Amino acid sequence: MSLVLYEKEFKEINECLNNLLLGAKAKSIFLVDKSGQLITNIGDTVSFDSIALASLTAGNFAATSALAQLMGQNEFSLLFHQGEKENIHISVVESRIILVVIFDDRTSLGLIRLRVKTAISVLSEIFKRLFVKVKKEKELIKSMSKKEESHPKPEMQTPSKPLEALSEKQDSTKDNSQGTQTEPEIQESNNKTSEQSDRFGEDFQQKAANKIDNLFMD
Amino acid sequence: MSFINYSTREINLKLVYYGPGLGGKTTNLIYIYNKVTANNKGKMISLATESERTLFFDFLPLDLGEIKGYKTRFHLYTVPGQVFYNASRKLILRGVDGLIFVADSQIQLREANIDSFKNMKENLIEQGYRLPEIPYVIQYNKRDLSNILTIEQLDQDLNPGGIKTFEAVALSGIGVFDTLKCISKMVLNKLMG
Ligand SMILES: Nc1nc2c(ncn2[C@@H]2O[C@H](COP(=O)(O)OP(=O)(O)O)[C@@H](O)[C@H]2O)c(=O)[nH]1
Ligand SMILES: [Mg+2]
Repeated sequence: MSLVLYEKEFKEINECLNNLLLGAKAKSIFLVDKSGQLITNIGDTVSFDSIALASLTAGNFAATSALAQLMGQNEFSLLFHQGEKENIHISVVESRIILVVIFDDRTSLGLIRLRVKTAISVLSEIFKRLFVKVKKEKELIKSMSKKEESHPKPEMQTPSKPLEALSEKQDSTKDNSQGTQTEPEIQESNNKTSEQSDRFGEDFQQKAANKIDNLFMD
Repeated sequence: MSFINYSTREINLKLVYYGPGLGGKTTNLIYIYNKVTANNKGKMISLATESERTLFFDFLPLDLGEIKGYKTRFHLYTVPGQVFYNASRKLILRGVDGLIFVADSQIQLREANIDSFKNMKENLIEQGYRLPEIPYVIQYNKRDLSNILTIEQLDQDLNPGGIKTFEAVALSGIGVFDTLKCISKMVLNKLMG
């Protein structure tokens, strides 16, 4: 299981969060995966250690969910912690993503709740679409590698310059990011996608190994 | 869980140190934290009891820097080893990309190692993972002590599959980076297919 984000969805997500930030007069907003990975953060991001915040939020949320199950609830759909000056409002999107809103007395819990509700429905749509896209891409990779097995040398079916392919894709997705038809775009990304190693370039592993050796030294 | 953001060009990976209580998982992280330069690490978080025992988890983000334009990070977690914290262990395993099983080499902890290893496999299965599919290595820690099991004994108990193992004295750092290097590379290789 992995989370993959593309330019188009990432832009949409940030747009949605910006609307939320302004509309709710929040201080900052973090989007975190349930495993503790920070997806994005906007607003005042310097006052907090965002990586630490992401990990702790996921831990907090996981613990509370376990608590909910213990009580026979499926999951608490939102958490709210009140601080002296700042408050934190936590909710879930598509049962996988955690939305964290930090706010102070320039706004109210009521307004936060209202705006968060709207934002969640927008985010849900984006993530649903993203999950479908990622799944399709995975299936395509599978079917492609099967084809390659049956036809040993099919004259390079896939581009071996993934980073270029990636930036091309990003440009072209920008063009049709207005429209709602996602179908052509999925197909396009499929055409240009092969194995991850193709995406990152063949020497990625070697470069990574060198970094690891240099960094992790006694 | 690996997180790849093609838009911001980031790759994040999650490594979990698993093993019996007091085996040296937190000690591994502390050593790494102390040795890695400030640029390459974030804040280390320890949710511990007053007696310093891990209550929920330790967390240490490591930054490899850019690899071909991709900011690449490892998030290191430890689980609490005590038997009664199983609920917490399950939560921390969520989205794991690579595992380090830290065994305590002391003779009297033989059962504790075996139980913890079994517990790890059960918890993984419960979340839909199977061990051979997730990169993992084993660290035989506390090799400096005198009342310890032989490597053959430890292998027999914990390593029937013959995967990569490391002898370590986490307290003085011996074997800590070798273990981490190996699992990091395994995880990246898996990610690249
Ligand atoms: N002798 C010895 N003691 C160790 C070694 N590694 C850890 N310890 C000690 O074992 C105890 C438990 O270590 P800790 O890292 O908290 O274990 P954890 O429960 O797995 O996180 C501490 O007192 C450590 O100082 C080692 O290699 N040799
Ligand atoms: Mg510990």
